[in-house]
Amino acid sequence: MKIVWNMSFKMFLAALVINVLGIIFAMLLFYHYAAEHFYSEYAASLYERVYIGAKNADAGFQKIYRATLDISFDAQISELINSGDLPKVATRLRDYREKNFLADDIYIYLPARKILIRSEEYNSVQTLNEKTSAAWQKIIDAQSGMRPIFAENILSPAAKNIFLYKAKIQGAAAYVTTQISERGFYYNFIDDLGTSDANIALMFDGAGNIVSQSRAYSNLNEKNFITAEVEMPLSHYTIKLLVNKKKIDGKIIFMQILSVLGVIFILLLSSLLLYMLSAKLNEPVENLAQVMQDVGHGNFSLRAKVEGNDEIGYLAERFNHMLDNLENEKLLKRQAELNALQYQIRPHFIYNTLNSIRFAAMIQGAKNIGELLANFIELLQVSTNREGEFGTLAEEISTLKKYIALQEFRLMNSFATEFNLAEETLSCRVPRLILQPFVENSILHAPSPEKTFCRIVIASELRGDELIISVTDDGKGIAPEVLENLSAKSSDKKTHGGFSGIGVSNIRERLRLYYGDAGKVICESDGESFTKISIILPAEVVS
Amino acid sequence: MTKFIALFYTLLIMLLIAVVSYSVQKSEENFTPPKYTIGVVLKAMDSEHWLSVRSGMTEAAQLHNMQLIVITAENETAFVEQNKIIDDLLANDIDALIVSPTNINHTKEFVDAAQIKNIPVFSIDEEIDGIIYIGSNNYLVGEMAAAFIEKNLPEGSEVSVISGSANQNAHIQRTAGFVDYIEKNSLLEIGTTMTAETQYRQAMNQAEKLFKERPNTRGIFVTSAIMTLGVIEATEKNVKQVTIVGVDTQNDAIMAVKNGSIDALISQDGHESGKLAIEVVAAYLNNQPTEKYNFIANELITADNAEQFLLQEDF
Repeated sequence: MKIVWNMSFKMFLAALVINVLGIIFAMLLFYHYAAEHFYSEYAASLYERVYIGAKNADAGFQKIYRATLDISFDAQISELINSGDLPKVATRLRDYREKNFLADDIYIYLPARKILIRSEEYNSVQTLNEKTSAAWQKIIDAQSGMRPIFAENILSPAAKNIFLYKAKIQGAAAYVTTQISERGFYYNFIDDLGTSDANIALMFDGAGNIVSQSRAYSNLNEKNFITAEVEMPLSHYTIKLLVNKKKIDGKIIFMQILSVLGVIFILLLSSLLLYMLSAKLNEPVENLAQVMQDVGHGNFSLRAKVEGNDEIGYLAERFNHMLDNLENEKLLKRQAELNALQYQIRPHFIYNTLNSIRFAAMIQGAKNIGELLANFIELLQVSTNREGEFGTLAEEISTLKKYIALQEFRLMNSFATEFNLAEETLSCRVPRLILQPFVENSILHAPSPEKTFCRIVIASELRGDELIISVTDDGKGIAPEVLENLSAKSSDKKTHGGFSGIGVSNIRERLRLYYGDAGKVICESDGESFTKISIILPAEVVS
Repeated sequence: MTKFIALFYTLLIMLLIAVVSYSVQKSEENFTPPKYTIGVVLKAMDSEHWLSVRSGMTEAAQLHNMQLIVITAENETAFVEQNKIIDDLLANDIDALIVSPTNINHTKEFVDAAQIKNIPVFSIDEEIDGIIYIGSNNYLVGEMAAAFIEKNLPEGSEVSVISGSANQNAHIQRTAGFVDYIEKNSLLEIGTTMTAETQYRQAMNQAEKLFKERPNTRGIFVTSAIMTLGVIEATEKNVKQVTIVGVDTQNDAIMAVKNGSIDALISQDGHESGKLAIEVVAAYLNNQPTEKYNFIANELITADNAEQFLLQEDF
């Protein structure tokens, strides 16, 4: 199949390429930002979650810290301890524990007597053995201030992990400790953070030891998780939440597919639109091309449709204009050709007729008439002959003599001619019929009522590079104002055809056309006794 | 045309580079934990005033990337416990300490301890010698109260003061401002100055005692809102025509102003002083200049403008 790379297809392709590039670029950007945004948004929300969880957890620790401190400042307790009423102390501890739901149990330890008072109903006052008391002393010694310690509660029947706060009882040699069960704390504060199979929540202390967690953290590749961690200002524990990236990756793949589908959809849609658009834009061009083709096949009457104010519209308009001109010119040319044919036909018909008449005259013995006709025919031929605008002076003089013979026949004894020609001028090139108008003027206008017979002298000479031909008569001359008119460069180019009426200006114009400023016509007359017309032109000898 | 295409591609490539470098930079960005931890020990958390102080602090702390540890003693008189808490706080990696001491006579211990640990100390609502102070100009508060009472009582009337803890500078200053103003600028007479713990019940008892001992009392200046509420209960019991002026901006007291049982309150916007405190601390930690005294604006609240102060409250 041959692909037609026409304008509209090229335009479509070009636009499509740019479009595809743009869309792909935009989509890449969008995808990149969307994924980036998604991750960071997720991480931000994760951080927010952990931050709030940590705040609550720290508030929990603060409460227990404050409760422990309150007990240590409880004057009643120190009084009871000092008076030895230990079961009552236990009762009071139970009151405190009830106020603090986080507190697993509360102990008061009297190191000197190795006595432990517990907030339990059962066995609330007990004496510890040497080993246990030493171990307990060691545990509680490790804690002071606001940071809890993480330890195993060796005093409870079933050993469990606890967070512990301790305070020295004011006014008694005793220590109060409040225990928070690790599991209890976890379910109160950490489990809420949204742990699931994919997530891991954990809490570690200032040294980085894990103190509470949802499930085993070891052997995990943290790279597979999005993490957020917040260190709590009071307890200096850190809560960390890890969310498996797989959970989010599903959403990202969905987004990927969505964006690819989006690209394909937009591409299809935009190609369709582009195709329609380029076809629409290209319509005037195609129209113009069609019209041009048809015109090329000869149908000149067709005109392109001019649409819009753009370059194509302008092109169509100019093309139409050109067609109009062409058609006009063609008409004119045809007319001219017809005219030319007519002009060729007419002289031949005339010559032939005249020749027939001449031969008839010769046969009938009118030799004079025959000669006149011969002269006339020759003159006609010279005057109508368009080829060869130039001839030698000799030829010009010969033609002139035939004209004079005819005029002598017409006017009978009203003038005489005399030729005074330099030999070397005869072979000079001159424009045809250049002398005839002046001789005609002299024949027709020189004679006057006072002087009916005139002499006309035709002379020629070479002066340097110039050929000077003059026609002089001794007639009535030309009035000075008329002479002035003649001398002035007349733009009157009117000709009447035939021999008469060809003015000085006509000859002057011809000379100017042939020779420029080198060709001149000079008229001289005194207005009563002579007229002299001189033609000056560059001498040009025909070899 | 070629130039245009070249320009287009150059721009495209530049954009790509910008995007890539930006995203690389962005992926390295992480959530920065709060820059500073500020320990805050307030007198108590049993009144609206302190709750609003904490609210203002929390709001400002978030803005300045700080985290707070806010702890209060059992009540406003428990200075031993407060000092123990401060000790523990100073041992707990804090960058600054804001204290509203319950007893101005026992501040030297923790101020010295903080100095040793090189932790700056700020006081809120309660001035400590040589420590940056944030809160009301308490002497001015007393003067404002005095000016109001002077305007509302005829010459020669007897006025008394029921002041909060004598161990707290704020109450001492307020009382001094009030007494000085009355003595110097008015024709009223000071009856007596009583002190009580800054609590409702004690204030009520003191007021009853006052009415019994000095029946001519025409005006009472009470130096805290919670005490004022106690005083008006005593007033209502004794059906006394007494002009009562209190201090603090808290809703229950403003309601009492609105319905006429308290004549006026000198405002002490806890939220504002909490905010201001954190701003001062932030400026100090960032090595910006700080003033020794940072006063919040105090205004006179009467029945006419009580409504707008009610609206100002956050809770």
